Amino acid sequence: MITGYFDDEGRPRIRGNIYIPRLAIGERVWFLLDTGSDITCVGASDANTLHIQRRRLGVPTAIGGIGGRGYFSTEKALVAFENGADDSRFSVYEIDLHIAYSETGSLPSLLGRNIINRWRIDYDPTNGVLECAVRSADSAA
Amino acid sequence: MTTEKKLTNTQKINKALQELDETERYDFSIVLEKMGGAEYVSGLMRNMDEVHKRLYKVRSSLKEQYPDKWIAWGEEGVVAVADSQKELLEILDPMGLGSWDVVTDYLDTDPKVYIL
Repeated sequence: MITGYFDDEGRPRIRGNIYIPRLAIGERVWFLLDTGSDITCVGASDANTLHIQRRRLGVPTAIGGIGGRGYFSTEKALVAFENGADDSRFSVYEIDLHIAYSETGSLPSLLGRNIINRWRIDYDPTNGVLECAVRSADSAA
Repeated sequence: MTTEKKLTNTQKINKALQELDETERYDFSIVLEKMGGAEYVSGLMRNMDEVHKRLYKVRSSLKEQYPDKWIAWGEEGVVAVADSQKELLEILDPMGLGSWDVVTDYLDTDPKVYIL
C-alpha cells in the first residue's frame, strides 16, 4: 500500500522517486495527487531542485489547465513508489514525464491519471488516511 | 595519511546514477541496485519522511521566524535560509546537500489557492 498524507493546506501528497534516464537524475518528489490532471508533471521549483537544466530539454509545448496555460518539455522517466512500510519493493511506472520549462512558478508537481488510474485510492481526509493500492505497474523492483 | 571526505546521501546517489551506462539506465532494478539497493533507498526515503514530518510540526513557528523565505530543513533542523530558491540551492550545492538529505520549503505567509 502506497501511503500519502494531507499537508497543512489539506492537499493530498504522495511521495515518489523520479528517475530520468537520459539526464541520469534521480530524486524524491512530493506530488500533489490530482485526478483532474491527464498527465504527471514536475513543477518549476521541483525541477529546479532536481537540477534539471532547461536547455537540455526538448522543445516545450503548451499545456492548458483550468488555472491557465504552461509550457512543459517531455522526458521518458521512471516514477517509482514504495509499496509500504513493511515492503521495501517499488512499483515502477514508465511514463512521458512533463517538466515545467519555466524556472519560476509556484505550482506543485502533479501526479496525474496516467499513474493514479492504475491504483485504488482510499481518500479520507477526515481521518488523515490517504492510501493507494496498486492495481498494476509497469514493473516492480 | 589521507582523509577521505564523507559523501552526503545526495552525493552518493548522484555518483551512482552518473556511473550507470546506457544499457543500465532504463532498468529501474539496476538503477535501484546501483543506488544501494531497495532497502537502503527505502530507508533513506523513510528517514526523509521523518525529517519532513518534523518540519511540518514546526512549520507554523518557522513561518513566523522566517516569513516568505526559502529554507532547507534537515535532521538537525534549519540548515539554510534564503530569499529565493535559486539562492538556497547556491548555498546547498557546495555542501552536497539535496533532496536525499534536506527538505526545501517556501514559508509562504500568503499561500495561494490552487485551481488546477
